[in-house]
Amino acid sequence: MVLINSWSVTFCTIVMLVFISMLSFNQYFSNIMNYIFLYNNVSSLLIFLSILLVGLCFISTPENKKSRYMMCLLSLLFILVIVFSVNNMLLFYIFFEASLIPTLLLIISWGYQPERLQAGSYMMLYTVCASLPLLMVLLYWSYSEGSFMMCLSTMTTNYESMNFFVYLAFLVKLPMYSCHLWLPKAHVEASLAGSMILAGILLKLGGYGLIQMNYIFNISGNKSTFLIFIMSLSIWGGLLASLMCLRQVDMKAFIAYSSIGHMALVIIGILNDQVWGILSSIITMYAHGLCSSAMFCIAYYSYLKVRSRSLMHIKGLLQVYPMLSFFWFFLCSINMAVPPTLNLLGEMFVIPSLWSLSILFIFVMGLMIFFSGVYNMFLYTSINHGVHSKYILYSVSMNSSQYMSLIMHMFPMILFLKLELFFFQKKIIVELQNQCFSVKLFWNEPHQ
Amino acid sequence: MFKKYQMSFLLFSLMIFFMIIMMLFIYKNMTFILEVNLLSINTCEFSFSMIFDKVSFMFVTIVMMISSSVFLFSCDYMKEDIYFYRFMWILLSFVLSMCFLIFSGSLLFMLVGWDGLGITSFALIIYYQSKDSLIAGFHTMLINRIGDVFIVVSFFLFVFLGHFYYYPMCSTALTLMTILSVASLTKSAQYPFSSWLPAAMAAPTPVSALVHSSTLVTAGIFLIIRLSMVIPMTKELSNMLLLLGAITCLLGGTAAIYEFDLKKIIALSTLSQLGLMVFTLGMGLTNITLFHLFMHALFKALLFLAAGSVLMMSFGVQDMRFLGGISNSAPFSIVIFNISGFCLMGAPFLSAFYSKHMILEKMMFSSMNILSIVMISFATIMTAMYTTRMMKSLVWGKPNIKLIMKNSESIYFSMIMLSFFAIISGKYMWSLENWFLECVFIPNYLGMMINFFVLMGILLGLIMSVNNSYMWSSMFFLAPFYINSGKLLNPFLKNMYFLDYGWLESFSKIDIISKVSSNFSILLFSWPIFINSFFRSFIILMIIFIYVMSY
Repeated sequence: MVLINSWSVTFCTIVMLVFISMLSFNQYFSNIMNYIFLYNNVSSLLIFLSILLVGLCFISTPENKKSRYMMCLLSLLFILVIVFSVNNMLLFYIFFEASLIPTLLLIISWGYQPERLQAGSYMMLYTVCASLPLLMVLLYWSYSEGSFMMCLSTMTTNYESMNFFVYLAFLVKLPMYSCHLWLPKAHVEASLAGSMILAGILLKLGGYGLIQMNYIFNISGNKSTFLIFIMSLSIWGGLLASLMCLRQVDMKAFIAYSSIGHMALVIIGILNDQVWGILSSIITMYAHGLCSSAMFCIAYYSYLKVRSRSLMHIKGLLQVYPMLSFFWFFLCSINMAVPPTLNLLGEMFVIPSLWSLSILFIFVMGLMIFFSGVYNMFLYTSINHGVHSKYILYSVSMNSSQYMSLIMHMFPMILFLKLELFFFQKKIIVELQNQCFSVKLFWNEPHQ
Repeated sequence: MFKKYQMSFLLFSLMIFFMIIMMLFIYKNMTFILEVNLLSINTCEFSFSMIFDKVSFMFVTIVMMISSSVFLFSCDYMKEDIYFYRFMWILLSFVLSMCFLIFSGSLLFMLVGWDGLGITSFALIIYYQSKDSLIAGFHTMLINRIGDVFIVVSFFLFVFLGHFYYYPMCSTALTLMTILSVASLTKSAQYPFSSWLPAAMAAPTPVSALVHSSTLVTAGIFLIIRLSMVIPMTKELSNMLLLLGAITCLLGGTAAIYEFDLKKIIALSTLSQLGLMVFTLGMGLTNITLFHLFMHALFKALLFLAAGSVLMMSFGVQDMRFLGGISNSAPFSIVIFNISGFCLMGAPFLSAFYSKHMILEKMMFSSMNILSIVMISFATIMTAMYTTRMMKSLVWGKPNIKLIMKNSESIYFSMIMLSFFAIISGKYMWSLENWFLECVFIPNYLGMMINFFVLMGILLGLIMSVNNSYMWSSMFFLAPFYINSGKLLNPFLKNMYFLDYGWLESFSKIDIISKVSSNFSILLFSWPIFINSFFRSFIILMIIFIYVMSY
């Protein structure tokens, strides 16, 4: 406790942990499991992302060194690491829900407007209500399987009728359009760290959950009417969310809506359950985690200059804070998927998977790509272009911790050169000779 | 003192370097392909490849040639800008993305250059902090974005092919070729997408000199050249290119006659030359297209530099009705202006003579529809006409505003360097690389007719005067169509309110629940004040964890 109370010790530990978690990128097996834990490349990527983003939260808010704050972030990190690596389905569910508690604390304790209470209750009620049916399904599943182990799932029982309850929890978490109202509210009210973590990892928790659900229930990718409905709802919803961006005046709500648009691709990629689709959704999850978190960071830094998040009040930052607006340009470009960023690969790789559904999906996707360009450049120009606004306060330029935070957000994009990491191999069903517990290890197919 | 010129020196030395390599590649006639495999899924290899052949080295030499002199020019043109280095860096990244595009061999690397051009050109067009430049920047960026969408969306066709290089394209991938060609039409500002090109004039003049000569607008044409270098195009595609190229050529020429803005006239002349290039591609002559592309790049950059030096004297007044008599105040600029103007017309033995006459003679030679021939002939007349009109109003008469001479050595040097290349490079390139040679058999009167077109255009330009016409200066209502198309979205965006804060919100009546159980809500919302309860709950979770672990 004494150690944890010291900011610098905590920070150094996180930096160490980032490097340690990078070691797990070097995987010889597609799945490594023991009694409690199950690693694959998705989970190692997301663990890396969560440790990195918690570290970046520390860097981004160096003025806040209270032990409660650090405790909150660290416990969230602990929960996230468990969620992403656990093998036991009940534990997965418990920690999936438990991640809400520190998030709620981050919103409620460190937000600064009275509306944060409403935002917090929105978030809690949406996610908890949606995920309770999942508990029932999971308990039923474990009853029929005789185990909580997700890698021992035999996929014999047909869960077609339950797929709504299976997916609902994660669709609300991601969020899919029409279950998304909690997200802009939560982002607007949350503090910087809350927004960063929420956009960076907690949304990806939904994507990871969808992948795990495909892992244990054999219900995805069969083009049932329900799945087609969900997929078309998500992609049209993504388009609507992109259009909603254009009418936002709050920077944070703007970024939140853009992340709803990107998460639509994750939903459609995973639910369609094809190689390109899953690859694209993993890439999008990783890239969007970094990019949206960095955008929240820079929105906060601009807020510090003007003390307002309204696009009406922030104008012409380019004249006053050129470095800030350089980063705005960079991040907006990354968010609008300029090559060679991972965001572009995520958007591109989903297209073969969309084609397998229908050519019309590609049409909607094209509109989405177009509007993502529109709204990102609209965001950039409305903040940075023109004569600077009269509301800008006297302030100093960006300091080194802020540069550090933004650059370290962009640096992990270099995994673009290591694309095999994102290539998730589904479980190969091996008939075990005896049904007792044994470790299943699958070789990765050799990449050259 | 020389720190300002360092980028120009860098680009110039790179030009020398690439020129030497170009000689080597032309002499040995070889092609290197560098390929880095990023990911292989099943048999589909997502790779990152670069092509080094004589085409890419010739192109990059031309780009370096132009950009070094443009950078030298902008050292003086932008010297009063306090953000001089920001401008230079954005301009350098613009040139760099063009180089990426030139050397690219696969989809990903091409997109790096392609989107990089789009983004950096957006940053350059909105460089001046005015509302006009913002509108122009969005106009440019969104039309270019349409092209990006076409390329990104065509990804699944690449997956069907099983590889991602577009050179050499497989002959079965005809749909893919069509989609990529449509994408290139947006970048090269062909007819339905051509309104952004005059709008991009909101950028500083050095940017226009780069954008309109060798970089942005030629990217699309270069892509079609690469696509059709090995496999000939289908008949439908080449017909589309023929028609759109001819329309663009005619439209640009006509709009330039009715235009009074000096820079916009030059931009529209670029448009008509681009139309001519696409037309040539439609005829299937990739080599001559490339040749004309190079020649056009050289003299158009020169024309923009000359116009820029005039604008420096007039303090940014671009309206030709105010300008005049520059031959007295700045004879050197006018000499340069005339050289490039005659190049544009295709006057004999200047560089564009070799390419433009060859295109027109090939057109007479080939068996194509009469409509395109008539349109291109009219466009040729109009090119000579508006060029003469432009030169007439600059050289003759008296200026209505004060012109102050303040050009310096760096401007002169850049213009001399570029004009040297603009004069000699036609003959030089032709004798260096025989791939550019074509032979034509036409009767003598057809050959004379081309010269007659030019002379008639010059005569018409000298005697004709026009009134202002909204229809033609807005490119047959194309520009208002694109600018106002955002208004279609407005009612939709307005109604979005009913969705998110309307019935989706009432979908979750959270307030009613919390009002009914107000006691519960007080408990719910006041607990974080007792933050220690968090630790208690955390410990409980730990206990559950240990319990389940031991289970």
